[in-house]
Amino acid sequence: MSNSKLYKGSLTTIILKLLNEHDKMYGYEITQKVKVLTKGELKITEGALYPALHKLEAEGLLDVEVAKVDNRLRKYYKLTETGTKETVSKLEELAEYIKTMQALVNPKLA
Amino acid sequence: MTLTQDDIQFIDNYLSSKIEHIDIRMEMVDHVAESIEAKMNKGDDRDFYYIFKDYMVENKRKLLENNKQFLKTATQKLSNAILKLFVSPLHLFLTILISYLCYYFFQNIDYSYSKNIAFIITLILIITPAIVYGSVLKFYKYERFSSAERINFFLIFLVQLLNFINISNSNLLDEKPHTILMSVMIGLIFNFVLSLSRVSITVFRDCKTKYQAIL
Repeated sequence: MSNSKLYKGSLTTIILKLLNEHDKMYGYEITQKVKVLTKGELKITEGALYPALHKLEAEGLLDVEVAKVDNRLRKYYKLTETGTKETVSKLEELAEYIKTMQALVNPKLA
Repeated sequence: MTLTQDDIQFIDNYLSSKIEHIDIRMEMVDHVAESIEAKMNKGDDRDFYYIFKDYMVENKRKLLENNKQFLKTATQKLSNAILKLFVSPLHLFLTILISYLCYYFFQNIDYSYSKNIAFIITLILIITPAIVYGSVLKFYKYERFSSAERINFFLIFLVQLLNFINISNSNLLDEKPHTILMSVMIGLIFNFVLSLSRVSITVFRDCKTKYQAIL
């Protein structure tokens, strides 16, 4: 992940948001999607991404599907029903956080 | 460009010495393969082996770190599931029932004899699944799953706990007035074994459903 500590707390929300927009995604695909969307500003490393994905799976927010693709096995992640609800809540939380920060940092825009 | 079956096997063989569980390794193999393919598609025309070597030099530490985190998450997930069952009304009722039955038996049957029998039965209940699991794995050459094998952690914990109780409190438990304490302990251990067994069944079923492509 990018060095900025600001991004670290939002990793879970980023993953949930991406999975909410796609039916299912695999680890490498998530890292690349984030890289493209943020124009290379945010790079999620495997050391940060997979523990986060496994934690979300353990919490029952993600479901797993394994398929054989290009001579190898691929683990796809998709949102569970609880995960979908949690995504809405996390996004609201993040929007509120951004709004608060905007009011603090740049009151004119808030 | 897509890596060949041999290239994938090479990555898998390399990682298998560091990551023994297939559920963790297959994800890492795919990630490494995707990264190498991306480099090749961007114009890196070196042989697979050299690109792989460079990738591992740069990312090996992060990949192994992920392995540790995965095991930690698996243990946490199992602990929560066991605890949830352990405190469920049905399990608490069974704990009280077993404790009462033990107390009844201790009153009517030779205490020392029945205490030893209770310990032996509990040990058999713990050791048998571990032996069966190990044998089946070896005989059928099944892949190892981290979530399933973390159950051993709880079995070892229970064996150590029983050993501790048996050794350190042997004098205390040998005394007749402590039949209540002994009965309650057997009830709690029974509850733990039952919770662990039910969680194990769920985990094995879960592995079978999720990883059908491997099995």
